[in-house]
Amino acid sequence: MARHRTLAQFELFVLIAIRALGDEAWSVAIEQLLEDTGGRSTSLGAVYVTLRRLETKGLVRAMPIKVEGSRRPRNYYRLTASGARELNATTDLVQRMISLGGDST
Amino acid sequence: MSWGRDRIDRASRALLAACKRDDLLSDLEAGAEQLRRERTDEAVAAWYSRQLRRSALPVLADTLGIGARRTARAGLAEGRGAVRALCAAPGFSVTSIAILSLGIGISVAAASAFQAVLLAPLPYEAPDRLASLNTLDSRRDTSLRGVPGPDVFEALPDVNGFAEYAAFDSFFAVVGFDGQTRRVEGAAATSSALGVVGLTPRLGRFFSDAEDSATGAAVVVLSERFWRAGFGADPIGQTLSIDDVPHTIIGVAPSNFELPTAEADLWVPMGVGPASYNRRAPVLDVIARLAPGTSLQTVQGEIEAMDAALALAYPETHANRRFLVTDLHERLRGSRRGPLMIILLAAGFLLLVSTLNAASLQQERWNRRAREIATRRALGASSARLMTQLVFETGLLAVAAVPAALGVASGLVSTLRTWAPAWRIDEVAILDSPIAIGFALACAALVSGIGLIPVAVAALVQAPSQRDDWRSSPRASRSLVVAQVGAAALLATSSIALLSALSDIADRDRGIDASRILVGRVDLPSTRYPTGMQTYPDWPEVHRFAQELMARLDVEPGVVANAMSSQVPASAAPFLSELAVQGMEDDVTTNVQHVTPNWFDVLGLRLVDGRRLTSDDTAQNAYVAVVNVAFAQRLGGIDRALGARFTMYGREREVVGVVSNTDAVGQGAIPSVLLPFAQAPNEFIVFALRTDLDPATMAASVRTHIREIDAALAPYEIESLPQFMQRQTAGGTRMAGLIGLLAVAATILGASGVLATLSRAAEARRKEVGIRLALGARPIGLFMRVVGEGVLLICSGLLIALPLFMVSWTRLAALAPETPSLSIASIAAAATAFLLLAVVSSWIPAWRAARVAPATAIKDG
Repeated sequence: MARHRTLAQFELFVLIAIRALGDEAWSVAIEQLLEDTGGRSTSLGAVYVTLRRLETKGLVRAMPIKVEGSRRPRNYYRLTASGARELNATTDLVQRMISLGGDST
Repeated sequence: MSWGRDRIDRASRALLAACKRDDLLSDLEAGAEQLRRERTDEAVAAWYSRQLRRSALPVLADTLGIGARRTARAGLAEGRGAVRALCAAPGFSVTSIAILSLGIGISVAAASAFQAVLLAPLPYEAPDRLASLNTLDSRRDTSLRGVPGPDVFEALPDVNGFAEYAAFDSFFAVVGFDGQTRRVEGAAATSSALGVVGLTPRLGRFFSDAEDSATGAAVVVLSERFWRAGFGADPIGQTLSIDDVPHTIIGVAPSNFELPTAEADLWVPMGVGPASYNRRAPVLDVIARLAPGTSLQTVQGEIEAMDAALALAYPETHANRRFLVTDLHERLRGSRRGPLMIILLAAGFLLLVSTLNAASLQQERWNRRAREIATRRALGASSARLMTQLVFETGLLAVAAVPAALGVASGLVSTLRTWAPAWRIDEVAILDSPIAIGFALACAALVSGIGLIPVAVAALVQAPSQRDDWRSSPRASRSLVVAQVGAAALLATSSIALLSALSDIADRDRGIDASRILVGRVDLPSTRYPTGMQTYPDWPEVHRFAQELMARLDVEPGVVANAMSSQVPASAAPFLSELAVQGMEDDVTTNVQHVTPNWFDVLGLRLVDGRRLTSDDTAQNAYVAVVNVAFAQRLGGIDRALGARFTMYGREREVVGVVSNTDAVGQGAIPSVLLPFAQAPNEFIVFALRTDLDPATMAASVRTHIREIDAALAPYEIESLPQFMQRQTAGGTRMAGLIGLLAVAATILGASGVLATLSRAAEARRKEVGIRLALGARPIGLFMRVVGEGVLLICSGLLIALPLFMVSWTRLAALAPETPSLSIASIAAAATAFLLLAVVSSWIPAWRAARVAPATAIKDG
């Protein structure tokens, strides 16, 4: 079995959100998605810090894009090949674990 | 939005900006703008505010985390560099660590002893609620430890401010166990003694109320120390004799029970009522626990009301007497404050000397590395970088000194424990104490800080053009050495002056010929030597013992004269009594002694007028007394003293003679009355004999004679009179010795500082010396010049030390039992010793300077 690094739960959520948002994956959109679908309260700061960490690990790439009405270019995020592999490996692992069955109570 | 929330938002925004997260703030603004299209303004504002607040913490943690890691990486690199640099100079490193560990260790020991003895609470339950009751003589404004027995039993139960109290009556007794006898200190105590301080017995139990009564069983509780030293196995149920009376051991008190004194080794039930005590004598130690909600002040108010009632009921004894409630901690530990403060101060001075010495070494080392530093500067190293390295090197030296310092401190505390067992510092465990380790690290940090100052000043204060040269000025080096010498000289002068003053006290002329006198004590137990006041002074057993001992000693080879008394001559603890002399308005505070006729011959007392006591002064003849000159002066002169009459022990006595004064240690010439032993016997016998041999050689035979008369007696404190005098000043002598030890260490450090500075100065002026020699200067002149510089350094240190010594002398003098005279000779001796030290420490650099070969010096220089 191929070895892959351990992803923290929040890192996994952020990677999933980036994949789901496609070209619209920027910090506020990721935070909104996590808050709307995850049912848990998060913050832009936590998302921001996690994005920087994922970028350091080489799992996502920031792409600064000039947006109308904004003085600063906005960072849009995309999964790198390595990030996509890590995400797939982690979701596969979760799937395999779930398929083992068992009583959740 | 509330004012408080607005402030938090602004603080969060400022924090994010400080963390340089402008992109996050920008995203936040953009997000708010976007949300405004689908949400109300209030909802957007709430979202914005929430995001600001919640983002601050993770961003700050992220920033610090990255920063900490970076700092740790950089620190590790600097640390490795510092270790390499120190390993490259092992001599310097080891010397610095040794010097610092000495200074830090001594300071830790002193501070730990201070903390354990004076700052730590008493080892009892709620110690701040414990108080002690003392008697105050309002005429003389003197405090007497204790309370009269009748007042304890009659008046104290009505004091509501005391939830509980206990009384103690100290005694010395001969204890017999397993065929051996020992004289031990003990106390008769009420059954509440252990409970009032919230302690439980270590073994067995304490007295019950039934045992603490006139009909109670003879039981005893031992101290843990006495149990361990004398018994070993479980002592409960065993029997020991106290002054020949068998007592059953029912318990062992815990080691921290130090009442009424730390020396008490056994406790028996007081078992008596007010009738057993005299209302005049404040002999009972009283410890009380304050009632809930009561303060010392409120109890004092209640006690003052009690004073007034007692003064009204017993005007003859209580008119000038009142009681004072004090904190128990102050009573038990207060007397140790002065000596411990002086030790702490002396240790602080040594720490200062060590720090200055280590700083000198550090400075010297950086001066030697001037070329290396210049190279590094040329390669681009900043001042900050070099300072960081200096900080790491200095800090590493100080931290490396900490383990050795803790070892030094541990050893010193053991020594202090042996030297001053009464201070009870046995609970100090340096190596296990986080406080001691923390203090050692704090000292290390302080030392590092001070050690950095000279080089930092050299680096930062020098003119910009000279900044690359980190060599500090010779003036800075000299200042460091002068400060070291000053501190060392202060310690040395204090020690020498105190030792000289104490020796002066021991050797002071006290009106008696103390040489070749042997003194000793023996207490006669009332079981075999009945001493009832009904038959006084007819105590045949006591008289028989005294006569037999004197008769035996009279024929002992080498004994010139021998006598019995109730008190060792010149004792620091005279037996004071208020004497009402007929025709005198005021009572005379008098030292009362009971002596046999030969006492005058043994001590060499001079008869001033009248006659001495003789063997005819028996209970069958007229009751008489001899007084000293000081007593006669209180009566208005020798003529008025002769024939004066007073009543003592129920008998009217006439003064028949006046003898010369004997100065008591710490008391001076106090009025004294000497009663004939035959008319006023005493069961606590002091024997004294004059011999033409060495008194110490007589001790064994005296002991044998006493044992032959009564094998169950335990004579004690048999020593020569000069030894006894010396013992009176033992506490101060020990302290002077301790300061002396610190002074020796400080002096060695100071001398090494002088040596290093002069060597460096001589080295720096090598070329100049070479030129001078080439131009015809004489080597002896150069030699004297270097020696002169050393003397100048030492004299500057002495100039700092001597005024400081004069200021501190009053406090030092308080360590002596009587005001010692400040000997100018001792100060001169200390100054001379330091000048000699200057010559010795400058000899090597001076010799080297004088031997410089001119050609080589000019060429190399």
